Amino acid sequence: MNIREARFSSLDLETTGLNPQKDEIIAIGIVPLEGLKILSSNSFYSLVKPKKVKIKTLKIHGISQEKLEKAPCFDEIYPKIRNILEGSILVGFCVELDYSFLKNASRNFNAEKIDVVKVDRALSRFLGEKYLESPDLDSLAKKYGLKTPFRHNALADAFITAQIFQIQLLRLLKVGINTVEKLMSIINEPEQPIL
Amino acid sequence: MLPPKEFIRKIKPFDLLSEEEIDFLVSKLDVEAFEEGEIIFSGTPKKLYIVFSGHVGLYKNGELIEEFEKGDIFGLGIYENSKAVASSDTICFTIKRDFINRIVAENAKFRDFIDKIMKRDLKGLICLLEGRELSDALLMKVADCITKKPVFCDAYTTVRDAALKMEMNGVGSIVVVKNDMTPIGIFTNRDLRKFVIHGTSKEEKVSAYMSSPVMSIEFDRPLFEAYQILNSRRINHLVITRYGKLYGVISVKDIMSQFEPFTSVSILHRKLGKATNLEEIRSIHERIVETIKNLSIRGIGFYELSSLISSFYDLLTEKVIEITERSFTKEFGELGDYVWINMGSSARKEQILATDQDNMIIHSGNGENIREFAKIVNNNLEFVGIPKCSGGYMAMNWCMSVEEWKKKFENWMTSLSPENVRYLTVFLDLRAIYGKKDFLDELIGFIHEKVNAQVLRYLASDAVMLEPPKLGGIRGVEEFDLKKFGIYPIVNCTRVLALEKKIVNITNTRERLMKLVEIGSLSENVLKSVLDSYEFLQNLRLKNQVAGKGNVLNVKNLSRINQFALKDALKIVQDFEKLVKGRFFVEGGL
Repeated sequence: MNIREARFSSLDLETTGLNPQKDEIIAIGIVPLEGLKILSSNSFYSLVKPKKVKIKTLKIHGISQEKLEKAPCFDEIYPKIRNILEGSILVGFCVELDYSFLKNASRNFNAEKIDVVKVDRALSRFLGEKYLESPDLDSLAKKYGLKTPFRHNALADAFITAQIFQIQLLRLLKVGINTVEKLMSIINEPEQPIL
Repeated sequence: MLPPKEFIRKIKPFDLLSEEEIDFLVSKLDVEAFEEGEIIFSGTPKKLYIVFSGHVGLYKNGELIEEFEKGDIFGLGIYENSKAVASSDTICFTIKRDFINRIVAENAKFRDFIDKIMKRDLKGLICLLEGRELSDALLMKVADCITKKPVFCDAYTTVRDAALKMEMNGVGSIVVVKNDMTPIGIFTNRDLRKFVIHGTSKEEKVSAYMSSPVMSIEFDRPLFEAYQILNSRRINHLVITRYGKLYGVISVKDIMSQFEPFTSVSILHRKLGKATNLEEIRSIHERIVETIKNLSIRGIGFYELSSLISSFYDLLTEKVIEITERSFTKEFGELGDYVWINMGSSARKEQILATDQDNMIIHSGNGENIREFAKIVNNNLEFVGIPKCSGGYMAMNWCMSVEEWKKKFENWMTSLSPENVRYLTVFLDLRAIYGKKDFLDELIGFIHEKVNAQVLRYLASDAVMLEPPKLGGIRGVEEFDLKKFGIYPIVNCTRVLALEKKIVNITNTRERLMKLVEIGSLSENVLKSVLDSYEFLQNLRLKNQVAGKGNVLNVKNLSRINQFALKDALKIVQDFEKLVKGRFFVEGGL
């Protein structure tokens, strides 16, 4: 499928920890893309009330315990999330982890996924540039000339990720990678420098 | 909230929006990416575009008319039937017009801005953005008047240290403050005198001699209020506070300098009238130059200033001639009849900071004596501060009888060599300053009789020869001669149009244009845009001159809005040139 016709969903979760088996989602932000266009006006953002983890024990920057207490639980918003993500390719920063969380929370969830860190590596290999070894979102954003004045919010991070991906797509088109299939194949190539 | 908020809120006119309004727009924006060469819109745009990165060219009828880069907005205003193309990979934030319209309906300032963009109201836009109304000193805030950081000390400072601090900072007062910067007193030169009279040791504390409690005024009060306090209390210094803390000090002098320039032009004018020798005139001239600079810094526009100043320069020339004539006739006997004529910007009453001398003489027949006399006048004018013309267009070289002048003009108009066309453009703006004005009337009558279609065509062709730089690339242009590419084309085109319609007695560009509209030779729309553009360019030049940079403008140092307005102004110049080309059939040259 041509990249310009593909639909993507830039996703970012905030979780209580890094273990999808134990930890839970507490915020979700999704910013959809249609080809190269970020439809940020159709973004989705919600806090998620955890099932098992006690809210009082949570200390998360920028999210108030009170609000979390009043938030819907995952099952309540899942139909909507599923609707948004349906037929689109997940895009994220270290997307595998977020994907596992989604899968665990919903059981029947399935999607193709693209990690912007991997795209960055593939692009760098293509262009013969150095790539960032294991970047955080801020340094990756900076590499693409994006400022991140406002962070640590799932929606803001999903947006920044969408912007990074958008710039990556522009650059991919330049080097002739114009279909989703080509994109998938280059990001999944073994990570050895092309000599 | 999404990250673009920080980016967008800094961009004009979004800085006029409230927090809620910004949040609303940011929640409605999309981010679109365009590859190099991709068409962004074609026809009439339905969105507002804010360039986040890359470059965009706007084309109308295949011609590049504007260029946008990071932080620019487009998609509003006169974009019907145009095409925007990404000239490099470009990312834009886009907001649908409906959402913009919703804000327009709610926010009056924002509406005003959008209105002005739609109407291309340059003058209004600049006023709006630079946040100044044509300045009324009485409505200025006291904070606007502060010129230096406040000098302060605490109550335990010795008189010696306080005086030292005042001396080192070159101020006449020092504010005594508490630790939290609340002013408790002020120690001024006057208090220092008290100390000299009554004091015993320099180690005494400043608190013993300061004036306390201290008169203060909050920073956002009108200047006029400060002026009244200073007057009614008969004090020289007033402390400015910001929420009770020391913010600055203003003196009577500071305030007077705000009010003064307006009055000092008329005072200097009167002084000039009474001046009896060249030295006096020279010093008055020096002071008027300072006053003009002052007024221009304060935002008084070109039209106001030029009308204020041109009668001053007329009087100055008159005075110099009178003084010279008196001593000349004493030595060499009576001069015959003659008229002293100013040419160029002085003739058009468009001179502000003294430009070079441009003058000539028409006399009744006996030339030699008068030529000698003219030489002295030219030298004396130089002495009082008006430099000689490098091209030599001065009365000492251009001193002829009416008949000789007629022959000269006839010759120029029959053999239209480039050199002669140049002479015509120089010698067609004439204004009598001193002497027998009938001579000039006779010459002008003659000129207008002789002007024919051929002459007009050559003059028109000369007027449109210098085109302003292509607008799209204005930011690529580093330096740019405002006079040559902006002001001259307007002046020269206007002169040709006026000449065609035999508008004889008007030399001023603005008045010529208004007359042309009055007789139906020019449309109101053209008048308005050309006048706006002319004023804008003249103001820009004036500011540049005051900053000591002459006519050459550094485009990069301009504020964004001025760059934007400059582009627009030059577009108007181009259109005006096109109109003249069309009217005199010189599109393809001669």
